[in-house]
Amino acid sequence: MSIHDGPGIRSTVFMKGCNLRCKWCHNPETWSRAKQLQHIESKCLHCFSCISVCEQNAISSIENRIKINHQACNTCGKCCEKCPSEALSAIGREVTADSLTEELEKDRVFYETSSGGITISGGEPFMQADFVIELLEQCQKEGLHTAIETNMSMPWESIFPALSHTDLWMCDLKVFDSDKHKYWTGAGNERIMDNLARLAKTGAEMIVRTPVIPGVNDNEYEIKNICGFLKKIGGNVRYELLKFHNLGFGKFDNLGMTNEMDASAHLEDSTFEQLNEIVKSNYFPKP
Amino acid sequence: MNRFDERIARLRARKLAQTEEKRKIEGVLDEDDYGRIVPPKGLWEPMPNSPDGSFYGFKGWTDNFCSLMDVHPVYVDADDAFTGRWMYFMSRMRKNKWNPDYPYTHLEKDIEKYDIICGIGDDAHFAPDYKMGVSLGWGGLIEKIEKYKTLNNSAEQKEFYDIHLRAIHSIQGWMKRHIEKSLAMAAEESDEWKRNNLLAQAAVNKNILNAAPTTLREACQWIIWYHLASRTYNRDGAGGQIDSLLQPFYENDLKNGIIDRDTAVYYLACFLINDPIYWQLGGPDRNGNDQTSEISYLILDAADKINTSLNITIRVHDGLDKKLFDKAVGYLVKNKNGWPRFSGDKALVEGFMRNGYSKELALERIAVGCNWMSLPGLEYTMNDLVKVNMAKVFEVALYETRESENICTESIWNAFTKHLQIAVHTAAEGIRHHLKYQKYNEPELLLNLLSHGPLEKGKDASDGGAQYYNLAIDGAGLAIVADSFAAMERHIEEQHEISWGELFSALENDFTGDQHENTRRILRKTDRFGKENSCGEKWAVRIKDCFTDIVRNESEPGKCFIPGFFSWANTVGFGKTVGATPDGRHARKPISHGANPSPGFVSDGASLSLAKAVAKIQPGYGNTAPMQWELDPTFAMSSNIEIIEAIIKAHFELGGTLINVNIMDKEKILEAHRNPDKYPDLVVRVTGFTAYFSMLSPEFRQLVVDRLLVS
Repeated sequence: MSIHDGPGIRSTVFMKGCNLRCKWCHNPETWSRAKQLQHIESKCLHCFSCISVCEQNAISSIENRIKINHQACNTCGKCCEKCPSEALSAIGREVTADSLTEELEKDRVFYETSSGGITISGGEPFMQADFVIELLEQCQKEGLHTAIETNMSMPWESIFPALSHTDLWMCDLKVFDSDKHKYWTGAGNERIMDNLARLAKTGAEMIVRTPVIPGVNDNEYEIKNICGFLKKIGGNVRYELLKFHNLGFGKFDNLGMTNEMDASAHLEDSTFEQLNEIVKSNYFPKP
Repeated sequence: MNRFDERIARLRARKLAQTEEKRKIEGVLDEDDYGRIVPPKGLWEPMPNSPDGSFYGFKGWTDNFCSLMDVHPVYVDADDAFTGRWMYFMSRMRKNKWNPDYPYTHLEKDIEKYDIICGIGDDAHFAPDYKMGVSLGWGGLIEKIEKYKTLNNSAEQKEFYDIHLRAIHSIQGWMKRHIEKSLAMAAEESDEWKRNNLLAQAAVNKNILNAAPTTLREACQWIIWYHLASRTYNRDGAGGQIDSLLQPFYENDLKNGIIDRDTAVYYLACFLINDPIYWQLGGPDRNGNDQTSEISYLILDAADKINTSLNITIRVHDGLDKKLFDKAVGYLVKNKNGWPRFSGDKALVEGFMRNGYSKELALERIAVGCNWMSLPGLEYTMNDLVKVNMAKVFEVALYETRESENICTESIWNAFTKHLQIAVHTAAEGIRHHLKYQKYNEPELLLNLLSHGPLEKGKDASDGGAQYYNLAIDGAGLAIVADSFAAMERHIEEQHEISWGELFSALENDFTGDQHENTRRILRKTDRFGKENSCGEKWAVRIKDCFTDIVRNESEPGKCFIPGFFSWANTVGFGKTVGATPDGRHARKPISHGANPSPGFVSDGASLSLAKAVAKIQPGYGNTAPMQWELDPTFAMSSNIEIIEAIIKAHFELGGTLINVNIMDKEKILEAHRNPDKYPDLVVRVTGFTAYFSMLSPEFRQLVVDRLLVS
């Protein structure tokens, strides 16, 4: 559960699978749709009990440390069960919309006392659009407030069916310049901007967010232009800046992935405040 | 800044100096602050009336109390609206707690075996009706005694009435000496405001020497005299519904044009700094209407101004004034001093009604003690006095089952329930023994005065004088036992990762050595109580149901036994009698806190998981199983007030009964642990009570630090 993914206390469902590869991503475990094995070195007791249970011989020890061959790992979970310190764990599980709704429903009291609800996040939720729409529909039937966090880069045809089951849209517009967007995320932003404009026209309640990343978009040009775009599309849209943090960077190592972003990158509070001032003076959201 | 702020700041500084003096002279104390100050050396010593050097019975207690009141130092501070402080822990100054003429040797073996805090000879822990006090005054109480003295005239009853009259007269003598002192100080005082204040102190005390109070200042001062006397007598710290109690006086003063808002806040600040009594604010009255009024806000504002150790509870119900709730949570996150705390009306009322009481009566049972609720003036409860160390009971069961050929969690469970039954019965028998003889040990001289029944019947509150006997038995160590069962079931029976032999060997060696440490790691890797739908939770609910039934089954006509889960400050002491446990806890380490899961039960979302977990193990009969909430200061900000309120409301909606909150900065608490002198004003909510961190023993400070760091 979370208080950072929309109004009130919310249960956030993180969907695995993402079509972007943002270099500052703090949820790299959601890039792949597949279940993944995670190893947290700081928790590891180096007892090597995991090695003996791995039938794929995917785990070995080098210089008294665990080494995982992620290609060979079939994420059977036996090593996780054996691990005495929970240093090994599997990320991701398969669920049905029915069982997940039932699970989410259990925390209804927190949603009700806080005007919260459920948020579907990711990854990119619309990579699994059918499931997401089924889940949103069921939650809405149960009277739960529904929100979705999306990068808006999937085809409008995937997104559109969610419209009538989503109370709040939290959409990213990360970089204004499309080439730059492509460099930092792996895709241009034309479809994103097109989808944002279409969504705004429907009158849906939207919060467009820009994660402010040092060296990427922490400048007046980017933020002013995004404000200009948002003014142009109109609709029921609020705009928020999200402050960069590198708390998720350790996950790359845990998952055997490579992080291209400089781990020491840091956004000054003063820069973030200045950019917020630009938003205030260039974009006037609906009260 | 208003005209009183400087005075309040001086009072606060003096309070801190008094606390520091107490620590230096008397040493650490793992308890409530109590507002007590250090007495002068050699002024008063108890007068024994028994060969064992202690004092017992009506005469023994009254002689001692009156002799103490006759010489008790006066306390007058020209900055303070009120006079008086208490200094002597009279009940702790006697040699023995229980009159040896009424032995309970038949219970002692099992009390020791199961590490039961039996409560025999313990006192107070039920609530006086302050409303009666402020409407009668000392003179009215004397009249009441005289009236019933003519109706109930056995020799024992004659003595009963006489001792109460003597007690009141001795309190009045103490008050008179304060009047003289205030006047004497006024004669010497050059500051006009202070001189007038001292004269006002004297006038207030003169007015209430016999007559009932008529103004807010008089009402507060009357309550102070009663509780100072009652504290001195037997540490009684029960409060009441303070806002509705003071509201008529405040409104009358307003009507008469003798008070303004700032003056009222000054009076209330002086009132609160006198003693951290357990007062309740808000909540429904007998008819279900919220009791919040303007003075509820003023009390919170006064508390904010002094911001010392405080025990104010906000009663949360559907009709609670939203602004009062906002203000209360606002002060909680602003001051981070462990006040206020919150009680859940819904579960408390519904639970108490399950004992067969009406809704109207249940609504009157309010938060007035550490973990406890009471009907002011109506019931005798032994709240927070009787505790069964379930971790010890479990240990007895575990080792008894060890030799059995078919050892399994179910056979250990059967042994556990058998021994729990014996332990609870022993505790209940202890209560019955206490009720039979307590009047010959320690009559409730002060609480009888503000109870409905003792004076009318000529009987002590412990002896049939009270209207109701709702007797509390609390279980302690729930999480240790639940997680132990879960660990054994999971790792021995389901996963076959360790054998019973390995378990016992590891326990006996306290998990020392690589092999046993490895066993511990395996045992620790259990989904523990606190994690939803976990094996630990399943066992916790099973234990809760079992304990609840066993306690309830002790009830008999005229005696209703009510279960709760609470360990007070006994987590350290209880832990010392229990060896290593299968949940991975090391030998002699503290047991789990009250109804809480063991720290570190989930890796994230701890607050919400805690709120759900503690709600699930509520016994449900009107006594509490409090949620001790260590709230992260980075979350506990004014911008999150709505979310904090939502969690509080959700816990109560799910069945929770009481929330004690701590918001502590980790660096600050670690530094204060290393150097207590550096933060003399740091207050922590240890459990139901708040305490100055510097007053706690190093061992107890460590416990608070561990709890905070892991959570």
